[in-house]
Amino acid sequence: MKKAVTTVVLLLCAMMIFAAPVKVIVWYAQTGVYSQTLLELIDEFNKLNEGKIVVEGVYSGSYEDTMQKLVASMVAGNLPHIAQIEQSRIGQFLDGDAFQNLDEFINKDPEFKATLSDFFPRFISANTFFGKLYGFPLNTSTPLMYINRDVFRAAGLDPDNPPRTWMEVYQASKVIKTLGDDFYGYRLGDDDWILESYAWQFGGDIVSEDGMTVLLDSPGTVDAWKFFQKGLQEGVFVYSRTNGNAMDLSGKIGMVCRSTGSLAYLKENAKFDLGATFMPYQIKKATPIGGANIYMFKNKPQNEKQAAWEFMKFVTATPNTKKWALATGYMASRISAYESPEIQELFSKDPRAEVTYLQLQESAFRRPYIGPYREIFNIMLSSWQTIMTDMNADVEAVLKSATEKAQKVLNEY
Amino acid sequence: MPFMRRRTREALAGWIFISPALVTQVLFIYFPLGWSFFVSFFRWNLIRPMRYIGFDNYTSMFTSSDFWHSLSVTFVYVAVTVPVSIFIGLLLALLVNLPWLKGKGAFRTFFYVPVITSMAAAAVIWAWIFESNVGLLNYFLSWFGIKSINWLSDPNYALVAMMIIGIWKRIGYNMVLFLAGLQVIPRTYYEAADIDGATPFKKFLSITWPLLSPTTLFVTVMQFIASFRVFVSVSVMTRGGPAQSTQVITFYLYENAFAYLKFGYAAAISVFMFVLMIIFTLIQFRFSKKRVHYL
Amino acid sequence: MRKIPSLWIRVPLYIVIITIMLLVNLPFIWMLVTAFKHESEVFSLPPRFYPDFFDFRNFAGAMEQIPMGRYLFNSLFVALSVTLLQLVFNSFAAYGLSRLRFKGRDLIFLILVGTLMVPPEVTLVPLYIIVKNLGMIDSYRVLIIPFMSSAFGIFLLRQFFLGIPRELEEAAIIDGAGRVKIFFTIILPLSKPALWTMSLFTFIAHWNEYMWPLVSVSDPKYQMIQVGISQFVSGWETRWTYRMAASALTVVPIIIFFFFVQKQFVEGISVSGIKE
Repeated sequence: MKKAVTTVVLLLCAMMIFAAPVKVIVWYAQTGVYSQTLLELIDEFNKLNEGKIVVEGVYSGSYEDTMQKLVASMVAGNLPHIAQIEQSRIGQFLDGDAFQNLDEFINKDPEFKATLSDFFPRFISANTFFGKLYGFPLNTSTPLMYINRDVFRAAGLDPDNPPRTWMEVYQASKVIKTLGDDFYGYRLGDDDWILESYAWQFGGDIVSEDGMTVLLDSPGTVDAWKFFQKGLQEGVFVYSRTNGNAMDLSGKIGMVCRSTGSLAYLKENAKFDLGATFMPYQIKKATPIGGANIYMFKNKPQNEKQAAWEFMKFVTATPNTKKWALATGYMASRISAYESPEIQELFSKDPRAEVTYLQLQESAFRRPYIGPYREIFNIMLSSWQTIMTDMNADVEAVLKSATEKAQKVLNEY
Repeated sequence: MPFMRRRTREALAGWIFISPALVTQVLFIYFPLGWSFFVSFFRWNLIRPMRYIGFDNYTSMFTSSDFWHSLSVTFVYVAVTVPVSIFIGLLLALLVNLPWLKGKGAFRTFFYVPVITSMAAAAVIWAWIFESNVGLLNYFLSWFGIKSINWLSDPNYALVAMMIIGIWKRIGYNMVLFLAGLQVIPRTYYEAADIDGATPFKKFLSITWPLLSPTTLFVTVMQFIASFRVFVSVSVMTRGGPAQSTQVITFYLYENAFAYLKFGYAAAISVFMFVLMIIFTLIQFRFSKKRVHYL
Repeated sequence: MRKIPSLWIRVPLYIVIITIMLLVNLPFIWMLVTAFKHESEVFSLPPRFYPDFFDFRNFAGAMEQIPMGRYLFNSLFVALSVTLLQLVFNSFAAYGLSRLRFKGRDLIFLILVGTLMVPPEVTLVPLYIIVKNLGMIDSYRVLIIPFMSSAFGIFLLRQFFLGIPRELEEAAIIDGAGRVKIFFTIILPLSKPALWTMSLFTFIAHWNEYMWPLVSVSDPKYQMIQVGISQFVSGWETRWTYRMAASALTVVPIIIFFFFVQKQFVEGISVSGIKE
């Protein structure tokens, strides 16, 4: 009798273990319509995999707060399976070999491997480090230049033929300035990826390709900063670091560079005719791929990682990336989704939404990601703020000392 | 020896009374602090294995210009916000304590509103108020013909803006504590002074201020700690900028820990802060021993 | 009775007080106004102090986007639990530190007050490690137990207890009362108002807690309101109106509560007084 009971109990336990679905924790760093869409996708996935896999989405705070939650749980051995991490904050995780190399799963999955070429190649290359694929694009975007078409018309400029180069932006700004003292041609801010673009577009850089040398004092970067400082000195540009929205919606700004993800927000709240075009360039056409990707953590049991892999495939599958793009305004990561009738229809209704895809294929690059990048960026940002607020500051000297300081950080890393 | 026994019993009771708090404080604050002390001798980003480097974190801290800069920004912030928020807190307490004032409860409540509002929400609203082009503050200043100020974008004003918020947040808190202290002072003292024909100012100097000194000590210590630890307003509104003009020490610590993942270095800063604050607080107690008057 | 000053003194003083009150409450008023605005009105220039129409939809919208009710309940539950526990533990400790004499007492006081000097940013990671090892992640416990006592509360109460005349205690001891009985029948009733003060400060601090719940709680079942509110700010699109509506919902009840109890604790302090 006793033996029978024990057997039954053991059997039940065994059944529970085998029957219990694998739990996969996914941390997301966005809210509002973004998290809603993601959670809907998670629900759908859970229904499809009922009894096998349960994905649980957890809000981990903003990109920045996510880092606190991540490192705390990392050191305590309590990591999620998948996390959404901002592009420029992954360096130390890569160097610490914390992420799962996704090629291991792709190579065992010929069916999926065949569809890999359906991703926009620039997204795949942006996620490939040391020849290995580590992440999948989730909420990706590039910066567009938004223009106030009413201001353009009032100033006698052609809104259908917006500036393509920074020099043209400057000239248009001079014209816009004639509308009044409180009008400005272009608004500057502090956003990291926009600052990176400026340097690239003038032919400069921030860190060398091999990640060993800081290039903040390269001639292109110096030219870019001199250019913007000159615009500020003449009052045709304006610098606002804290509340871009307020200025951009005020109707007194001619042009501003912001994420393609802002399109929905600006469309809804701007009381003027809003245009969107390519980000300008001067020497080199170059724009950054911003936003965040999803990464899997290496240090997890194989069966759980397999389940997490299933979810990563699901989220980036054509119908789902399409759904994501339509709902959020972020970019679809697959070409087949981009070519789908729904998305093409969206473009025919609002051509502004397509700009980012054209820009991606033409000129988008991965942002700097090396381990000490946040510290190097902060040094750069602090110098940028000096240039933006002190009209007499010498760009060359400021960038030279910033380079020295940043190089020291890089060497010590 | 009944006397001895009583003392032993008293000591035993004392330990029993304090032990729950002592245990929780040691477990949840001193253990973490000890951890920080330990980590401060290592190079560690919590991802790669930790590496012992002796006092290197301390030497690089003391030779870092950013560190000294943050410390000096913090000192300036403390030097302004501590006296000003204590002064305004005291002034408000005196005002809402006037015997003939109607609607005391409402005034007290409304002066207390900033204390209740979470700093994260308040900082967002303040960011609008300080906004240079569409902000309320510049709008009001324009009534008086003052030219618009780039509060948060100008390195000369950003710290001032932080101070305004810091003071705004704390005056209600200090007011409540001072109000409490004011209630303790016996009416008879003032009545005696009235007979002597003393002016209100004289009465304040000779009665209120000295008898308020125990409260003033408590308020000063708490205000000092709060000012020294200023963080949320900076992290929400200025992120230490522009051009490092608001980089207070806690924000510097935070960035090193969670943005640069230099946990060993951040731990060294936290150990330094702890020691510095203990020293300052001890000085305040010592200094006040001579000055504090009791009834 | 002291005489009431003339109108010439009273009126300007009223004006001063009301002006300061308005200035101090400007952000709060602005929060309320924004909570009723339409999103596109938020940045209008010149700033408008009244919305075009009072739009309650922001409150509904905010409630819809996050489980507001659940978060509010959690915050209330956590903040109340912490406050109650602190009332017990802090007053015990404060009593021990102020009314009982034993060796090492001043050192213990210094150790306890020393925890005031430790900024929360410092303890975040190690505290997480500790609670993880105690198996408390993702529960109410992780939000409550680490904060069962506080240096601030102990310091505040000790100052008050020091002011209670010793004679009251001596008399009770002669009558044969024990320490515990004295604590409950003499000290606590006399310092009721001081306990109010501490409770209010503690409650507000935990009601507004953000970082710790974000880091230590992943299950939305236990998440707190400030983390909920932060979800209206994200990347490119910040719903200012929702955020302000949600913030107003967290502030207004406490203001009303404070209005009704403020008399309690202002007068309360007067009974015991503050001493070092």
